[in-house]
Amino acid sequence: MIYSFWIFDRHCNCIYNRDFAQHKPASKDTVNRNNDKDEAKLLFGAIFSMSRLSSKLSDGNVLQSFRTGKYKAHLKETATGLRFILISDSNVGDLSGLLNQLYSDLYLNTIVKNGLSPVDFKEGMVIKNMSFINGADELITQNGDFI
Amino acid sequence: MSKPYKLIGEDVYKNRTEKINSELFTLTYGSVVAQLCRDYNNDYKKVNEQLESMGYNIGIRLIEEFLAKTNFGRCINFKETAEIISKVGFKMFLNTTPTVDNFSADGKQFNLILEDNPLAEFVELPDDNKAVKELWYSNVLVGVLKGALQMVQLDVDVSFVKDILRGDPSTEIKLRLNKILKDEIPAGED
Repeated sequence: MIYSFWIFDRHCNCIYNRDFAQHKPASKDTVNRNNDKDEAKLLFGAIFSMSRLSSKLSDGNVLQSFRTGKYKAHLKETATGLRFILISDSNVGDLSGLLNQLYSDLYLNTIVKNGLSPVDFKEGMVIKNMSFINGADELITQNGDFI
Repeated sequence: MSKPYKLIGEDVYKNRTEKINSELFTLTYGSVVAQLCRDYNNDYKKVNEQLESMGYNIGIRLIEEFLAKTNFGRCINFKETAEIISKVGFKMFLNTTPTVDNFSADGKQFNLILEDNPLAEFVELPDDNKAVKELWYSNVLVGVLKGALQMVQLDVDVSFVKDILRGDPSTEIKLRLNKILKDEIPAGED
């Protein structure tokens, strides 16, 4: 089961967040609800520290996921400093394919190639673009690991 | 390490990029430059600046497409960056592979020689004796490179040094690495 989806930008700010756990079928109430909450900061801090640790352990050693008793966090970090994170239950396998799709297809086509959307987000800005939100919901909810 | 990049570049170009008619592209770029020359009353220094700034805005977006299609991470050194720019970047977006030349001893500077510059086909500079000295016709490329590299934390000075359109024997862009920018870190950590 996939619980939530997060994007952090190169300035370490949460530019997108979507909670799937509470509402099904998903209503749009949980889009960008937790961007400034402690949860976002803790998640970012954990991912940040673990990424650093893994690259210190060995060069080119990239953090892909980590697991706790009940949860698993899946990460894709781009060379431009974007971080795409999915939180799932601990039994879910590899979600790197889904993370790649979210970046390479969706983010690229609805944000990067969209002249009306910024690519360098200023503090406090979030992704509100409906094509992105709907597209992300579709990709995530149709993934075999969603339920 | 130089061979795989060539193959990757060709593969991405062949299978993963949308293509448009190159003459349409060349003519569109040409009319942009011509319009800028009119807008700035042939003040070519301003035209160069404007082209660079347009390129910068393209570059900061183009890098994401580049990364999404190649799945590359950060480079180990500037030599690798040079190889990737020439064999994958230029190949993928312009279907040409500039030669990397004149690497400086400190590994921080090199030239890209464009044997074939799709932007400059059919082009003649205005014969006002000024354009051949001042206008860098393809200056948009300078901005693209600068913007794209800055997004992957490389602060690089980019400039044209030669252009066939000006009567030089070749078209060359010089890249010099100033510094590697630090990734931003969350407040309270260091």
